[in-house]
Amino acid sequence: MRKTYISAVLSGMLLFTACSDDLNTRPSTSLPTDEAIETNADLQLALNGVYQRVSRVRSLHAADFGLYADAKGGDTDVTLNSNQFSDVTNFQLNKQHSIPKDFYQEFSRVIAYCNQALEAGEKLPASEKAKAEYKYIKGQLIAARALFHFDMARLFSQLPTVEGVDVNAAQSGVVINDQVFNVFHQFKRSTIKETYDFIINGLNESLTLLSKDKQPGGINYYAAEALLARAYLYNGNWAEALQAAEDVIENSAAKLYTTENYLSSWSATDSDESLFEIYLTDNIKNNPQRNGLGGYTTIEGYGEVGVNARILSIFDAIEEGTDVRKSMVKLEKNDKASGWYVQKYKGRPDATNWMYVNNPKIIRLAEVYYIAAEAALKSGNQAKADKYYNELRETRFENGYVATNNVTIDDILADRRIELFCENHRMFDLVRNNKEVPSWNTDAIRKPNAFDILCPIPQSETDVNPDMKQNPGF
Amino acid sequence: MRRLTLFLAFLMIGVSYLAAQTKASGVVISAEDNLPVIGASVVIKGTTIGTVTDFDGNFTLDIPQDASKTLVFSYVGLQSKEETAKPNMRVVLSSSSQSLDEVIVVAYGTAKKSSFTGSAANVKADALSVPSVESVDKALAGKVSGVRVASTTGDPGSAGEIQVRGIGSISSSTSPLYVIDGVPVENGNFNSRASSNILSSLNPNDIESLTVLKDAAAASLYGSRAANGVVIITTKKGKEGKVNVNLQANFGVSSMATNSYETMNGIEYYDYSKLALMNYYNDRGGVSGFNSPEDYALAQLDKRGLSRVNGEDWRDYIYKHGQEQNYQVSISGGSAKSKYYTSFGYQDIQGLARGTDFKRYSGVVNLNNELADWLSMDVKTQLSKTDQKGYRDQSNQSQGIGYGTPLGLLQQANPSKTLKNENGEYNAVLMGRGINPYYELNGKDKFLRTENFRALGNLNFTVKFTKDLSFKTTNGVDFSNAFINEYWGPNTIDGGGSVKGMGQTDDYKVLALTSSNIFMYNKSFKEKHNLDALAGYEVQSYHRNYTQAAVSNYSTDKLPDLSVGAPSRALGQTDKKFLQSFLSNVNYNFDNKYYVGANIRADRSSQLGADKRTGVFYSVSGSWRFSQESFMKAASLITDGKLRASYGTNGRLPDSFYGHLPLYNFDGIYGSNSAIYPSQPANKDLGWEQSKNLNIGTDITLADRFNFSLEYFRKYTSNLIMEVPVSSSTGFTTVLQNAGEISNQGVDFEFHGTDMLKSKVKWNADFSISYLKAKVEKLPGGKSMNLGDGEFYRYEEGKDLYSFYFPTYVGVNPETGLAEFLKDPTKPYSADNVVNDASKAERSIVAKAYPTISGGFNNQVVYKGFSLNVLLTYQFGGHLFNYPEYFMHHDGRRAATNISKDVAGNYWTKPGDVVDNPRPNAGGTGSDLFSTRYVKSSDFIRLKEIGLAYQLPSSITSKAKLGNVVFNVTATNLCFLYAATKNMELEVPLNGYRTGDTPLAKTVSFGVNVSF
Repeated sequence: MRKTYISAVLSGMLLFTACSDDLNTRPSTSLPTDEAIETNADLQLALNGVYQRVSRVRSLHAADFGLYADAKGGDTDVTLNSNQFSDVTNFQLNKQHSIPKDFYQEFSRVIAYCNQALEAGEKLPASEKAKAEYKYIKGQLIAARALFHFDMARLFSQLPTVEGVDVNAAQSGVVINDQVFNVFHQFKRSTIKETYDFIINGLNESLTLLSKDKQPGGINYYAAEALLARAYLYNGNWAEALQAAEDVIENSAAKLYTTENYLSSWSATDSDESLFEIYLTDNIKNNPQRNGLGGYTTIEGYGEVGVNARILSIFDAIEEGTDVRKSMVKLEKNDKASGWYVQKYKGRPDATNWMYVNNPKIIRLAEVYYIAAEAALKSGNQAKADKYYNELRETRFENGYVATNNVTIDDILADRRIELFCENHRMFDLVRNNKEVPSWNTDAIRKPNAFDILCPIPQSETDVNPDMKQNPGF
Repeated sequence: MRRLTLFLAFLMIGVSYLAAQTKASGVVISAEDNLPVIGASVVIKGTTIGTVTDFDGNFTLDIPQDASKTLVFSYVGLQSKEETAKPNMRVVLSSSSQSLDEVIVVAYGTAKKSSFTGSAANVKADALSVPSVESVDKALAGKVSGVRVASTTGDPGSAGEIQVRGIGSISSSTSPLYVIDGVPVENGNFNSRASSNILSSLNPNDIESLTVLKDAAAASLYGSRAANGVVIITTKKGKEGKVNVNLQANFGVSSMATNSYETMNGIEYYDYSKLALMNYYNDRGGVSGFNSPEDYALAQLDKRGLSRVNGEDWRDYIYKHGQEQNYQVSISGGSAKSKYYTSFGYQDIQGLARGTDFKRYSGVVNLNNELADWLSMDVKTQLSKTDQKGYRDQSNQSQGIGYGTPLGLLQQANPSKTLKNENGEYNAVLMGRGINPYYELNGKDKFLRTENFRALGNLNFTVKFTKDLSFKTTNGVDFSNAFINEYWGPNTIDGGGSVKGMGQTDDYKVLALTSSNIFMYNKSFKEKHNLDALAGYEVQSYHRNYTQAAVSNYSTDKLPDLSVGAPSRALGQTDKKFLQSFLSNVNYNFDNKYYVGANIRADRSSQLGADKRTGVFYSVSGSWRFSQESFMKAASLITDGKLRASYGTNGRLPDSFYGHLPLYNFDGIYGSNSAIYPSQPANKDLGWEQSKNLNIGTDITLADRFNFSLEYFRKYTSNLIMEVPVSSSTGFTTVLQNAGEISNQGVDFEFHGTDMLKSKVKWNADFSISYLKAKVEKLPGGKSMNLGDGEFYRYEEGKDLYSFYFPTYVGVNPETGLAEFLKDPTKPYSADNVVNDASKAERSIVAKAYPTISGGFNNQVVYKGFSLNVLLTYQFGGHLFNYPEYFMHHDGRRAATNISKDVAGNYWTKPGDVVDNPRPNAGGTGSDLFSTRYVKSSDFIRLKEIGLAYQLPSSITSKAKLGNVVFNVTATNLCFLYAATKNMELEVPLNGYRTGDTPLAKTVSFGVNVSF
């Protein structure tokens, strides 16, 4: 009897405890990398993860980076000071500041996402890699990685066409982040030349892989080629820039806005001109909320990126009923304050909160026309410069368009300034053309090689990479 | 008092033949109450011959000629005593809870204090149940040396923070392991938005004793989780005897213990703001649209809704007086073979801040049964439900003070306005927001409610194979369900405007199953050799299920439930972890003089990399009870004395469940498609954090009543589990690694005096003092790190843990009125080394947060039915960062934030003013940024508890057929006897972070305790 009891107790206890498989526990909402990516469909999700990061964080194209060069280019106004973005406009970014730190970290993060996905893609079975989707996804990852390097180079490195820049100076470019590195890898910056070579080679490689069909919310052949045209332009490769831009103009599905759809295009998903557009999600967990393009450019939000008096006077000077772009700035008022704001980011019509949901158009056809015109001009082809300049401008006029002959670089920049206002171009356009950068609220100007045209490398990064070079002046 | 009895049992088994020769007789009396002890056993030493006392405590015993003349008197709960047999004896037995050689609960068993070679401190029930303290961790303050207790917030139900012997970790939990009735349980904070203490699910009145295991010898049997110390809680058991019914009721009131958060009144704030605006105008050289500084200031003041009158005292309104009630009933008793304890409790504490409340309903059933002489069974069941209502708090030290929190409301409330206007309507009083705090604090329009249902069940069997060998299986089920419901109605700040109300529920279900199965062997041979040993196997599985749902856009402000809003979010997740362990312990002593012991435990955990899963922890210890040596026996003053030493290792697991896996997260959305993204890098080498512990101590008892204990400890922790910064080019900014080393060393001293005067006035005293030095030894790559809120903790090799890293504030320049900071803090003050903007000043390590010296001093004086208890706690050498005051010393910069009262009349207005606060300037000058201006000494001596109890004489109670009737009045946190910094709550966690949460309350509570 006694033994029966004992064995009953003991066997009960062993039943309860013997299960050593439990030592391999797994989370329920995430998976180890090799289990997460097993097919092209999984790899597509990882690519979506790259775009999702861009769509939701406060630092990238849907938020701070979408307005960066406008604020530093002297065309915006700190209408409300909500202490979110005005330090950019005021050139108050130091190496401890969170804005350059977030730029650095977030661009690095999406680059690393690309590298992780590319590595996981390499490990897919041969049968999956043989399919066309695989090429399309891989092409997008390579193109996106090149774009993010380009964006980092615009933030942290001097532009190659600035007078007196030594493109071969050690650590003048950005980190070439082209593979999955060990977490304790020590990084160093490349030269400007190496950086632009990497960007251009990456985009060219992607062209061999990408689909020419539309990739919703993603990069197709022509999006990559448009970005390539931009990279060539920044790098001073005029002929290549013109060639790439012309191919996009001639062969891509994108077409220029008309005066009829110009205003409504901004709230449309996949507008006519969109070559690469990031989709924002109508869910506060998945968009940058008030720190987005919409929240910065309205009196109802943070309202820190208004319209500066200087550029306002240009909009004001446009004769009513001619250039449709006149209505892209408006006086906004509420019971507390008022100010002029750009009207590009007024939300998708379906959004719960319009302020939070504004798709950034990372590159659109109008910019490609400017690239073509500028590259043509600089390569001595005045006829083509005139052609692309006038073709574009004409679509913006309801009435009374008069073509310009013998366009100059200043003509192109002046129209670009109006067309691409608040799309992150102004300061870059001035600097790469060796023009001085005005201050938004004083008469002060900055030379194109002024130290604070660049962002500092964040201290957190030089702390972990002691051999990494800081930008001079910080 | 009824002492009911072993005596039937003794009559049956104990009494053998009686060969009458000498007759002993007398009465046995309890020292505690001077009443006769019924059923006390009286046995002739070395025999089984004996008797028990009768209902008047009397006995007679015939002693055979050849037997010893020494009688042993004993009774459950009282200390045994030997006396020479004679007629008409009067034997007084004192309570064994005061016994200096008590039996204490230790890892996987019990030990006599005299033979225990490790370092452990035991606290008994009466010291743990302090009225108005809802969880046992908070009742420990000042009662055990080397154990520090603090709360980040005074809201009822919030977590206490216990740290045993210093700071266990840099970035992981520093909380000890809690073991309830042999089962390691989950503890800590389970709500990420407000401090919520899982230990508050346990009613302190149901606790029999609590043991803190401090060194490796004591704790390493718990191996992997013991590095921060172990707290063993034992719940009450039934005692053999007649039914004992105990009723207890308490009622108390509370108010803020310190004069914290006092703000300027309406007139003071108006004058201050006006000056700040005028100075701004002047410094800026004018503001367009205004002709004079006065014009500008008046216009702005008007815009802010300020007028030069005194309005409501918002501090009184927001931090209203709290109150509490507490009712307990317990019924216990049993026979020799079957005992029971059962209790029901209800406690309700309304906190200081309007709308905060904590309620607990608890019940316990504990049964002990001897099923056969070789088999016994224990069943323990605790059920409780807690219901905590309050607000988001800052216990997790996120930056900023929420504007909807009580302190945020106080800071924003316009001091020139009243709560209601003359029509009885609520005024718009929050500066810049136009809302009345009523809507934030009424408990209807906004709340954060945490309901926790917890069931702890144990089923244990003990099998005795032989006299020496037994087996015990302990099987525990710990189930808790935390349901968190947060609502921000459309009338509140956060729920207002286009949000139209937000609601969210979080549901956590946690099931932890533990089974430990231990063989025990215990043998004495050749009289002087005593050996005990145990070996066993333990497994623990933990399963957590989490769901969250959130809505916004409520269709009405009248109903807060989720169905009334439009869904915005749903989350669900399941997590598991598993731990497998083998453990063994051997203790040997020779003649109760020389003791050695060793522990070993091997743990395997699912939370670590496959190759690093197994951790082996051990300890060795020894002691020499020199008082047992014959040469010491002569030194009659030293009645007990012991030297002991131990060395061993303990471990700690990461907080994260899957920190070793490279993971992709699946919760992404891109457009209308799903998205996945890398969430953590691979770290297959993630292993145990390990600490090596040395403990050397001595315990000396003088004249049986004065007990001294002195210990030195050193704990060196390596392979710290830390988030190590890495280049963001890897896609991550930190990775979880074993890196870094820290050390904690110190000295603990305790003194316990029992009945020190040996007079009718009985005086017991307990004094403890601890010295602590906690240091950073090694950091990854030798690189210093800044961590914490605003990165203001500096971790630097060779420096103190929790070192504050701030610009050095010098003071206000009497000529300019500007704040001055040292530009380079390593150099002395000079005209060249001064900046006026803190952001232009270099930072340096300016102070350490943790106190060097801390402890408590408890005195109990008993005279007749009266008992007075006074507990002082103290600490010295620590500092705090006063985050709330940082906001309230903004020097005019924050337009919608009131200023601290201490600034009134103490700010610069004209050259020559020697004051503490700079010239106000509405534009801000960098004077109010983080700096040593807000670092204060946290030294104090506090009257922590004072209690007076009166027990009705038995002459009265016996007429009413009652047992004990005790009336008591208890006050906690009554005052500081010394405070280095005035008007501030100085009890802060070891990290010195004074959060913007409700400070501690002082409470006065009245109670009655009746048993029959």
